[in-house]
Amino acid sequence: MAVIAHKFAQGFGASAAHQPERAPSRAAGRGDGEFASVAMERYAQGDESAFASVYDAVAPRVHAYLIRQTRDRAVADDLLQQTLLQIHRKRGTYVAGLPVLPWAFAIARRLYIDECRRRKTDALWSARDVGEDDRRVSALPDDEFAAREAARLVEVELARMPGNQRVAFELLKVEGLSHQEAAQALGTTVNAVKLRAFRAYSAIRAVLGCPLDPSASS
Amino acid sequence: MVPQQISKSKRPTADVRSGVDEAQLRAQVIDRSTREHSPTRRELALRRGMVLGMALAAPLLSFIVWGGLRVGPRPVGLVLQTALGSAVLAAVFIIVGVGRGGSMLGRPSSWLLTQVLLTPVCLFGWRVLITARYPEMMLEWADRPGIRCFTLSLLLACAPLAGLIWLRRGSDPLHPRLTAAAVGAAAGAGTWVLVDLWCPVGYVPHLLLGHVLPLLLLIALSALLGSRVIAVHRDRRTVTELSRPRPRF
Repeated sequence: MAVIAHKFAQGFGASAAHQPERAPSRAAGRGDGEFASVAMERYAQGDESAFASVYDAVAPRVHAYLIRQTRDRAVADDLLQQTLLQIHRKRGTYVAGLPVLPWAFAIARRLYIDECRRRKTDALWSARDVGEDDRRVSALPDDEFAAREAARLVEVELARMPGNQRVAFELLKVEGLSHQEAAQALGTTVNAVKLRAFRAYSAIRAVLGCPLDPSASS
Repeated sequence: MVPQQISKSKRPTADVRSGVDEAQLRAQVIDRSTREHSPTRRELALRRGMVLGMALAAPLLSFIVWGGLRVGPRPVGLVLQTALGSAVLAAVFIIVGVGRGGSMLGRPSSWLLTQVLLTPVCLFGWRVLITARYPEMMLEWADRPGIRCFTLSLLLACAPLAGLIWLRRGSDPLHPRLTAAAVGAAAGAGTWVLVDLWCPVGYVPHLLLGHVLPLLLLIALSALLGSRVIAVHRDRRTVTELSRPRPRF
């Protein structure tokens, strides 16, 4: 969470000279999506070696998403493993040409929700992480301190905002999914995703004291 | 060799407990996939064909054993209109409820909800609308409160419902209850057509008890099953060494 918060704090105005940072993974994401679809098609047809390609196309982004959600690498590893195994088990149902990433993100999100329900300790994880961040901050130079402070504000705001807004925001701005893909992964409409992301933007900008950019939702 | 001590400030990640390294994780997942067989598209199509064949054959056989088509005192025109109309409606509801609509994540929840709500309303409405044109067919039958139709509806729907739910098991990470309810509505719509062919009674309370109530029960039962069978669940068998955090220094 601190990583994402730091990244967005830099983009949103830890320094006024910085323009909002576009998700660097977005361009790569398109390529990953097509590569994943092609690999998944081969795998659905029975090419066993294609699973490694599916893994390479899907796993890094889903893993990053799970790490941000769980803030626990070991749990994220486990959930990633289960996500990929779900895809493996359902490979026969794959329809050629359909995007794989929204499917993978939806499975990962469902497994994460299952995990949260099982453990009921996500609040404790957050508390632990905030404590560790606070301990580290004192040793940093001024600029970095300012960025970290902004990151902390973003982090708190992300943690405070409704889950559906946070997830929509992360899928669009961190994972680089299109509105259509994010809508599929969340099981909602494109307009609903835009609205959630816009609200998340507005909340974060408000907490950082930045003027609202009317184009933020597009 | 003295193990390298990692100072607190040099821990690999700021806010993330450590796990295994990427290569080890990748190897473990791929290894597990090779050890656990999963059906390819061709194998799945074969299984699906067998399951759907049985899901169709079982209610048809039961229908024949139960007595098959019974025109009774109904005019042939009434039988044809109710059967054809309900068959067209059922086909639409089955396509919407069972198909995935060109997405790996199924149809949008609004579509499914609409299908679930419209299935009993449209089928009941069609039956009443057509039967109302033959007022003598709307009268009460004292010996037919609807128990036999109720039983037949549930009996005929068992196999299609089980087959369709089995085909969709573990496949919906978004709205499994709604998907399952739509599958239940589709199974109920299919059996509605057969029960329509069998039952000559057009008395509204009879239709509500013997035809609509089992359809609603099927939808409710499917929705209950959905969260258990159709939902994607965490598989405890895959919890391995990967899930255990590495010891911290």
